[in-house]
Amino acid sequence: MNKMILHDSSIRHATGQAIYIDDMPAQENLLHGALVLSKNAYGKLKKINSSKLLKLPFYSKIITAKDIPGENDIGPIKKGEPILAEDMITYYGQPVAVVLAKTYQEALYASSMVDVEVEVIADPILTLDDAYQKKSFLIDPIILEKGSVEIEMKNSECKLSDNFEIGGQDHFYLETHVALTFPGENEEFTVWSSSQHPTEVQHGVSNVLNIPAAKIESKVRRLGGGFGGKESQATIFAAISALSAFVTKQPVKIRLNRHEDMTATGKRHNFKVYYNVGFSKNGKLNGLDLILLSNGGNVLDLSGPVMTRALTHLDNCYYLKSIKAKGYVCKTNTVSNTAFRGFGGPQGMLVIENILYNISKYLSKPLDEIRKVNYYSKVNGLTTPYGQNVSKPRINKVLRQLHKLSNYSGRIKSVKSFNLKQIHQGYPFRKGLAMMPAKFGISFNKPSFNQAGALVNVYSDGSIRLNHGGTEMGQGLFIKVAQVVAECFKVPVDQIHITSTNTAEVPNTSATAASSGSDLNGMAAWNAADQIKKRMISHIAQLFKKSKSDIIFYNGRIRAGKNSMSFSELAHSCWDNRISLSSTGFYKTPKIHWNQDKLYGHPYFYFTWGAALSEALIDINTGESRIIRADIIQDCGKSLNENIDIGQIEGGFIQGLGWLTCEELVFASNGKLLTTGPSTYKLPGSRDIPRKFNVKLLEKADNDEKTIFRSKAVGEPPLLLAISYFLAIKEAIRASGLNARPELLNAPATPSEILKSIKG
Amino acid sequence: MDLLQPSNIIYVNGKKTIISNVDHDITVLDLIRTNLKLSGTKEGCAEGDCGACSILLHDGLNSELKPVNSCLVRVGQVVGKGIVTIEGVGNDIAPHPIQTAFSEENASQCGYCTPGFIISGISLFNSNKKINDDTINDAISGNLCRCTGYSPIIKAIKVASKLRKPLKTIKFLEHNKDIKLGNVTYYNPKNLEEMLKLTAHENYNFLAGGTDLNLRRPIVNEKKNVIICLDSIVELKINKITNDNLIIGSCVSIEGFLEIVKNKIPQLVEILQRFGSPQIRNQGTIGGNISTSSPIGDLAPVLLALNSKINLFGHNGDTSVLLRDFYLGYRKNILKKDQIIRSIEIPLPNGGYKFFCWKLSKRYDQDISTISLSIYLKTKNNIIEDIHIAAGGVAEIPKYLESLCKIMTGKTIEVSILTAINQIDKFVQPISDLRGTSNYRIESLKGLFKRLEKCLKENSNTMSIMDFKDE
Ligand SMILES: Cc1cc2nc3c(=O)[nH]c(=O)nc-3n(C[C@H](O)[C@H](O)[C@H](O)COP(=O)(O)OP(=O)(O)OC[C@H]3O[C@@H](n4cnc5c(N)ncnc54)[C@H](O)[C@@H]3O)c2cc1C
Ligand code: FES
Ligand code: FES
Repeated sequence: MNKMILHDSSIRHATGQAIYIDDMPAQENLLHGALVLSKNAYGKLKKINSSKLLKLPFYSKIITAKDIPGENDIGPIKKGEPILAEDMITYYGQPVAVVLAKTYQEALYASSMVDVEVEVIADPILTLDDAYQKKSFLIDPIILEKGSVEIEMKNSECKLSDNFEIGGQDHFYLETHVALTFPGENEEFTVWSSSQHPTEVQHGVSNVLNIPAAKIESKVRRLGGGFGGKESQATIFAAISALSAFVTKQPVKIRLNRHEDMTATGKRHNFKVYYNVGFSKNGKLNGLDLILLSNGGNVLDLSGPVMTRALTHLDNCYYLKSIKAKGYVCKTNTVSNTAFRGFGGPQGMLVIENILYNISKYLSKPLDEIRKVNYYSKVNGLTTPYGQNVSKPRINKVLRQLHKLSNYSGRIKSVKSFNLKQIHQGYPFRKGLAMMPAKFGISFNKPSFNQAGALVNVYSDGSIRLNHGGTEMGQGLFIKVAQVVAECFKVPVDQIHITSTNTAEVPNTSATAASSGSDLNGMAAWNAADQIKKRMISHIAQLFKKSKSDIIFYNGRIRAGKNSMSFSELAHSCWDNRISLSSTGFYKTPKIHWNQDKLYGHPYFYFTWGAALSEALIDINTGESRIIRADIIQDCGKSLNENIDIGQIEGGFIQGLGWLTCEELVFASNGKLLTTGPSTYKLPGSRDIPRKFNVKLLEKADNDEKTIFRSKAVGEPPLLLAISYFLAIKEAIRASGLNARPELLNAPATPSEILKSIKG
Repeated sequence: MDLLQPSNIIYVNGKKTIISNVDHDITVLDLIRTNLKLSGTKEGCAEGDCGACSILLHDGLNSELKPVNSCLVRVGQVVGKGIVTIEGVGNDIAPHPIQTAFSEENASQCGYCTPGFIISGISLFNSNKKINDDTINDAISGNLCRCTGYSPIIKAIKVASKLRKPLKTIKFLEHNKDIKLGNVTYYNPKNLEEMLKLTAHENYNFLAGGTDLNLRRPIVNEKKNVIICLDSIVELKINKITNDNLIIGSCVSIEGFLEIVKNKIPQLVEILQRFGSPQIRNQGTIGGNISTSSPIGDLAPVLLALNSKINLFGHNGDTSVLLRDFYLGYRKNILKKDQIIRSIEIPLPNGGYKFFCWKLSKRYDQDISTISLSIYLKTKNNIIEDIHIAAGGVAEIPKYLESLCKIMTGKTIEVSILTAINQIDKFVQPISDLRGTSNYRIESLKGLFKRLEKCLKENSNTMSIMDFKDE
C-alpha cells in the first residue's frame, strides 16, 4: 500500500474547486434563512413579534416552532432538545425563529427586525459553582469508584486538596454550520448538510417533519472542518432548513455566520475540578477523591458520554489504587456543550496531570519521578479503575523513542542553566520543560455505535465506486478507505471513485467521531470489496479451470496461471457472466462491552499511546508565553497513510495548544457570549506553533487487535499531548521566583492567568 | 455633483466585468460568490480576521497586487479596479506552482482556508520581499487554519518560492469610479474641493479603507445614503519628509506608513507589523485609525508619545491640533461632521532621546492590544530629563499620561521607574474585559516599566520573547 498518498481533494482545495454546501449553485427559487436569536438567557417566551417584516420592501417569511408538523426535538440521547425555542428560553442566543428571504443579506436584515418578548422569571445559572450549589444537573452524577478512598486517604502520608478550572473551546471549523434542503415529490426531501452524522440528520428531519426516514436523503460530500462540533449540532440546522423547505415548498439554505455559529452552537465542555489526593512521600497515589463539574449547558446533547470519557481517561497512564470520582453534568443557561475532539478525554487527562504536577511541586521533586512510581506496570497493576486491562502498556517504548528524538536529558540541563543565568542577570525570561505520556481508548463508549456499513460497486469498465458511512472533514478518511479498497483489488487508488456520504446508499451509520472513522469504515469497505473479490475469484477459477488459490490480483491485473487480464477486462467478464459486481459491507467492533451504570467493562477495543515534550518561554513581567519546541511520538499502529497521520498529529496538537493557551470564551453577566468571532476569540496563528516541531510516528508499532491492516486511530489523541505545554508553562512559572504558585494556573493559560500565578 | 454615467466595471481575473443586478451595498465577497458565481473564495468570519476571503486588488496602472479581505471591502470601493480571485490563480488542469505545492505538501486538510492562504502566498511572491520564515509568517498572519497547524502550509510556500512565479495583471484605466448600489451611492472625489461639495448631501459618511466602518454599516439600507470615498483624493496621499518632521497624508495605508517609517523610526516596525495583517494593513489607513478614536488603536499611543499634531480640513478650511487634544471620549473626537483628518505631523525622535513602544495581546499576530505603552524619553547621567508616556487600553481613550510624566521627570532611572510602578494605579484605572482583567492590565504595565528599566540599563531597544534568539 502507498502510505504517502495525498488527500484525494488536495488539488481541488488549492484551486478553490472543491465544492462545499455554500458553493453549490443556487436554484432560481432558493430561499436563504437567518436565525432570530434570543437576547435573554432564561425566561418564558411570550411573543415573537414579526410585524415589522411586513413593512420591508422585499419578500420575507418567518418560521417558528409552531410550524413544526412533527416533534420539536432532535435530542441525540435524551428527548426534549428543541430546534427552535417554544415555551422557554434557556440560553442567550437560542434560536427562536428563522426568517427566509431571497438573498442572504435580506434574510439577515429581516431577522434583525423580529422582536422576541421574554418574561424573566429567575436569574440564569451561568457558572458551574452556581449550578452545583443549586443542584442544577442534567442527569444523575456519573460515578467512577474503585477501592476505598476514605481509608486510603486516611493512611496516606501526604495530602493535598485544591480546585482548578478548565476552559471550554469553540470548534472554529472554518466552514460554519450550513444546510441546504431540496423538497421533492411525494414528501421526499434531500438534505445536504455539513454534518459528521448524516444518519442523525436523517432521523432528526424525519422526526421534526413527521415523515418516514426512508423519504429523507441525507448527504454530505465534505465538511470544512468538524472536530466534533458537527456531530449532533448539525442536525439542528439541517432540521431548520428542512422545516423551512417543508413550509415553503422551496429549496432553503441555512448558513450561520460566524457570530451566530459561535453564539448558538455548543463547544468543548468547560470543567471545574475539586480534588483531595492522598499520596506517599515518594509520590505514589493512594487515594483520589474528585468532583468533576462539567458545563452541559441548557440541554443534555452528548454531555453524558463526554463525562464518561473524562472519567475513564483520568487514569491516563497511571495505576490508581483507589478512586472516587463524581462527575456532575451541570445544567446551566449557556449553549449546550457538545463533542469536541477528545470528547472529555483531554479534560480528564488534564485533571490527573495537573494533580501529579501539584504533587511534584509539593514534594519538590521532578514531575517525571512522580509519574514513574505510578505508571501502569506489572508491579503497580494493569487494571484501569473501570475494569479494563491495559494488557501491554507502551509507555516505555514511547518514552524511549521520545527521549531519543528530543534529547530530553540534555535539554533538562540547558533549561536549568538558562533559568539560572536569567535570574542571575536580572532578565525577565524563564523557560519550562515538560513531558507528558498519553494513553487514549479507542471505540465509542456506547457499544451500539461501533458499527459501520459500506457499498462498493464495480462497473463493467473496471471503475470502482465507493460509498460508506463515514464523513470527510479534512481528516483524510475518504482516501484511507479508498486505499483499503484499492488494496483489496490491487488497483491504483485513483481507480476508486469516492462519493458523498449518503444515507440512501449506506443506511444506519454512526457518527464519524471518536477517532474511529477509518477503523470502522475501512473494515466495512474491506468487507464489501472482499465479497466482490471472492465472486470474481470463483468466476475466474471456473473460466480458466484453476483452483481459487491460483488466482492472484496484482498491479491492476489478475493472473490465473499463465492467463492474465486487466481488472477492467475482469469486470467486463464478470458482467458478461452475470456475476454481481456490487456489494454492501458491514463491520462491528468485536470484544467490547460496557455497563454504564457501574462504569465497568471493556469499553475500548484498544489503546493508542503517545508522548510529547514541550518547551515554554515566558516573560515574567508581562505573562506572555511562547512554545519554543515540541517533540512528539504518536502510536498509529501500522499507519495506513503516514502523510495523513502526521497531519492529524500536528493539527491536533496545535488545536490543543489553542485550548490551553489563547482560546478564551468570555461571557457577560447576562449570559451573552462576548467572544463570537476571531477578532475576540483567538485561535493559534502561524507564529504560535513551536519554532522547532518534531513529529514522528512510533516505530515498530503494530496493533495487537485485528484492526484494518493493524493500523490505529489518530484523530483525537494528539490534541491532548498539548497538555505537555501547559505543564511546561507551569514549570516556567515555578522558575520565576519564590512567590510563584503554578498551582493557581487555570486553563487556558492566558497572559492574565500566567501573570497571576507568577505573582502568587 | 451628479453621477456621470453610472459606472459598473470591475476587472475580475483579467476580464472586464459589468456589475449589474446588485440591489444592496454588498461586500466584494458576496459579489464574487453570489453574483459572479466564483465560489473558490470562502467566508470564514466576515470580520477580516480569518483570511478565507482573501483576494488580490490592483488599480490597473501598475502591477502591484495587494491582498485584502474581500469581506471587508464593499463593491463600491472596487469599481474601476481589478481583482484576482483564486480562480484567477490556476485550476486543477493548469495549477499555479503554489497550488501544486499545497497539494503535494499536505497543506490542506478540510481545504476551507486553503484558497485564502494561496492568495497570501502569491502576494508575497509578487512583492519584492525576501522569502524566509519571517516573511512567510508575516504574509499569512491574517489567515487562520484550524486543521493543519500551519507547518505544512509554511513548507508549501517555501517549496513554491523556489520558482517564485508572480502573477501577471492586465493594465487598464477606468476614470469613473462612482456607483449606485441600491440606496447607497459611492462618490470618489479627486480633490478636497470636490469632497467639500459632496458634504452638501444629507446622509453621508466618509470612507477611507473601510476596515472599521464597513463592519458597522447596515446590511440593508432602507434609506438613501452617500459614501464619500477618500481614497482618490490626491491631497490625502501627500507625504512630506524633512529632517525633523514627518507629515503623512491621512489616506496613506498602514502598510505604506510602515514603508515610510521603517528607516526613520525603526522602533515602530514591530507595532506596525503586528497591526492586523497584510490584508488589513493594505486597506486600512492611518487617518481611519486615528478617527476611530478607539482606546485600543495601535497608532495613537505611539503618536501621542511623540507629541504628534494632526491637520484637519473642512468648511472652515485647514486647522491643526495636538493629537492629545483630539480625543473626547469613548470613540469620540473633536471632528465636525464635515471635517476630515488631512495629515499627521510626527516630530522625528531627537538624537538624544530614546523611544520604546510595546503592545501586549493574547496572541502575537493579528490581535487587538490588551494594553500598549509608548515611551519617549531623554536621560542624562542616569537622570530622566524629559519623558512622554502614552498608553492604550487603560481608559476610554488612548491616553497621554501627563501627570505620570511629571512625577517621573528629574529623578534617577531607578527611582523614577519605581515611583511609576508604585503609583501606576493613581494614573490609570483600566477595566476588565474580554482581553484581560483590570488587574492584569495594571500588573503588566508595571512589568513593562520593569522592561523599560532593563532596556535602559542594557541600552537595548526591546526585550520581547519574540525577538528572543535561542541556540
Ligand atoms: C481584522 C482587523 C484587524 C485590525 N487590527 C488592528 C490593529 O492591530 N491595530 C489597530 O489599531 N487597529 C486594528 N484594526 C482596526 C482598523 O483596521 C484600523 O483602525 C484602520 O486603521 C482603520 O482605517 P480605515 O481606513 O480602514 O478606516 P475606515 O473604516 O475607512 O474609517 C473608520 C472611521 O474613520 C472615519 N475616517 C476615515 N478616514 C478619515 C479621515 N481621513 N478623516 C476623518 N475621518 C475619517 C470614517 O468615516 C469612519 O468613521 C483592525 C481591524 C480589523 C478588521
Ligand atoms: S471572511 Fe474571514 S477575513 Fe473575510
Ligand atoms: S485545512 Fe481546514 S482550516 Fe485549514
